[in-house]
Amino acid sequence: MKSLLSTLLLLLVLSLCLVTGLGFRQGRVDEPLYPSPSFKRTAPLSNYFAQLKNTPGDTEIFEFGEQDGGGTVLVLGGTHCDEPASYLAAYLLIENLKLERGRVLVVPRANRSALSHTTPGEAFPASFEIETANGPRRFRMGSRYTNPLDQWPDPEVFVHYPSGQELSGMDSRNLNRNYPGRADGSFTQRVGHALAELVRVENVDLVIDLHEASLEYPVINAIVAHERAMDCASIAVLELQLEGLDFALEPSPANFHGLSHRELGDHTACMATLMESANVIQGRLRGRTGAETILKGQDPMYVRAAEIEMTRVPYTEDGIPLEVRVGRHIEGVAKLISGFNQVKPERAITYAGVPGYSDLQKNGLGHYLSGTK
Amino acid sequence: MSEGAVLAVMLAALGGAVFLLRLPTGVALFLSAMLGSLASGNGLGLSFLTEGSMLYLDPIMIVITSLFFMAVFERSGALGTLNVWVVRTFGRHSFLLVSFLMLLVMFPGMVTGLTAPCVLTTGAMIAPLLLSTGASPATAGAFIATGAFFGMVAPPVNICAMLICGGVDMPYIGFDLPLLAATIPLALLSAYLLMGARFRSFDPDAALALLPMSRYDAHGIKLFLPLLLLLVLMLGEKILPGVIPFLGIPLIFVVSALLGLFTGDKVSIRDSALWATRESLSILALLAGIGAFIEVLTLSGARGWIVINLLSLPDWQLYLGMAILVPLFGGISAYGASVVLGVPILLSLLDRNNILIAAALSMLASIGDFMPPTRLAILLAGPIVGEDRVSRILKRSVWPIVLSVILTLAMIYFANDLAKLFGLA
Repeated sequence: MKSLLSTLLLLLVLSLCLVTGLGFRQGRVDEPLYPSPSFKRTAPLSNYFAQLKNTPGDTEIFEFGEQDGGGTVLVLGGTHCDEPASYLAAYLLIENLKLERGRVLVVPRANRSALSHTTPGEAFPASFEIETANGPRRFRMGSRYTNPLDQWPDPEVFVHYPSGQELSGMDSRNLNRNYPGRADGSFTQRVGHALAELVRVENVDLVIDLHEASLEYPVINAIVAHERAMDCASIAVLELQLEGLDFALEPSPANFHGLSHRELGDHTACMATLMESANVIQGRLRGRTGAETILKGQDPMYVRAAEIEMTRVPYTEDGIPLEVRVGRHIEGVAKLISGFNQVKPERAITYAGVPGYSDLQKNGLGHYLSGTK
Repeated sequence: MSEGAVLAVMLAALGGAVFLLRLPTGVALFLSAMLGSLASGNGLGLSFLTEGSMLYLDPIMIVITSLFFMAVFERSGALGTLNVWVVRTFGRHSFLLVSFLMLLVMFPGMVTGLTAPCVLTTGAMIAPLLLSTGASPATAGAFIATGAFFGMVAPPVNICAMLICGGVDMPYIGFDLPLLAATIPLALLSAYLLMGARFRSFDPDAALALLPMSRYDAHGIKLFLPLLLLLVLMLGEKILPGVIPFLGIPLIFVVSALLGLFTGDKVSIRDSALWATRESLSILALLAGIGAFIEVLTLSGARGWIVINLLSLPDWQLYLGMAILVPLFGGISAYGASVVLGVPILLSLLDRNNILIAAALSMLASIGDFMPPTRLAILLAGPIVGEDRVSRILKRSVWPIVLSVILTLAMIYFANDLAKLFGLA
């Protein structure tokens, strides 16, 4: 009797592993993107660091425009893949951008491995859907960290290279703590190194790394800028404020290492910037977690948090929907490029076709992600 | 169903399964998580339960492999030999002996930031010596669990503090002095409160008669090669990064245990592995169940409900709430408490010195290793000292816990003044 029960339990566990394993495997499948006609080509990141070839770290770079005297901007989405506005803003650029001068490189899944799983304990949905003219379109939710199947085990203490700064072991799988990367380092360090190589080889002038953060996090609805990018970012913030979008300007901390705005700024010639929008699903105070939380950004616990002044941005029952978060990123990208054009007019980058913040609020995100371009 | 109601359902299910149905706590946590998922309208939530049960995969592997290492270390004769050496060296100096034993238990925690390696390695090594003084198993267990707790908090590696830092983008710098000051004096005081009287009347010759014989004459210094390898592999990556590779703690235990097969008395690898599996099975189930429980707490919004209710408390109640809720949440997971409660609390106290606040919160969260449902430190110490009712170990650990809570609240209240004292202002 006991052995029969044990066998049945074992079969039950194996069935559970099989059923859920098949679901988790879907996380490895990249959703298709439909680049705009202005799109020139894609290149794998491994072109800049061959060791990444045929690994989950090899990710697509979408290139728009030519080396025509204009500057080059690199937009990074999906550095942290539990920050959906970051990669959806990158997808939206890829599917709508019509470049007129200069070059735009978009890496929508900077840490592709992090988009292949979710973080245990966070109860994130595996995916969410956005309504488009062609029916619902499914997008994956990912993790802040590289998939442990690609990099494991974590050390107890992660020592950043080359600064020697110590962080918790889990941050060894956080791409935005691993810049400028290391050619002979861990998986995540190699991805960081490849992205830094991309910046160097392509002479990127301006890097814009897109992120989201919880509402209680001090650096929120903000542009963080390296010293060299400060003029460009100041102009951008001023223009955003004039359009009624509240953005703070934060200098990149000199003593906090591993972040893109610090290390790409220090180790390459680019102007390095990073943008943060406010997303309740990042927060520890959030209530129910699900796809609706991502899409509508509504959460009654954060309403209470706002009442006791725990949030760094205004927050009401209306929430902060995905359209608002992606819209802020898209508008922020536009204004940072505008700032760059004013700082370096001889290398101006111009484009059209990308909806602005108000277009997104009016027509919805699905209108610009219909997948029929 | 509201978030608070879902939490009530989960806790009621957990209590019912443990106390009425007498199910193992790990299974009870899993069932409670499943009910929580149903109550919150998420169906059975199989993918969440599976994902959650993976949350503590690393600690699960550490527990089973460290027990395997200890089985080999003991059966090879090294453990008995080590105890005999300690008694002969420090046996006539009670102050030195108690201090040495406490620091010895703490050491693995100081380099790993975990309690389990303390209890299962150095704690297990000195358990026979503690019992040979005539101390009750509960007292010996409390000594080991307390040392493990202080080791987890003490520098250089305090994972809870690192996680809090990670949550607010703050480098883990400047923690060594405050953490040393918070842990070492209190650890030594606790050691004396627990074992001081026993060691003052300690008779080394009587203890030697009770302890296993030294096998030093038969095998010499090579008996301790597994321990040396363990230390080299654990510390090497930190001291010589890039030269000594980081294998991960589970593999380090396995490699060191395998060496132990050749350095002392003959050891059966099969018997040692079976013993380690049997001893750890209930703990492994517990850790998997807690992972699933946390996942559903988050999914249902009960986690956020707990946090926001804590942060909504007025000033003095917030201190009381912190003193109770952070360790209690740490009972589910000390790391979880650091991230889920520690980060928002730190952000609500930004007018005070961040380092002192993070250090204090990390200590409060680490107290969770004494708290149910996991009670990891005392749960692991129980079988090592032969105490079946681990609640007795908890009772003996009350004073170190109470003193630690008082100290951490003082650290938070006087954070800015203490920061000046430590040169951090």
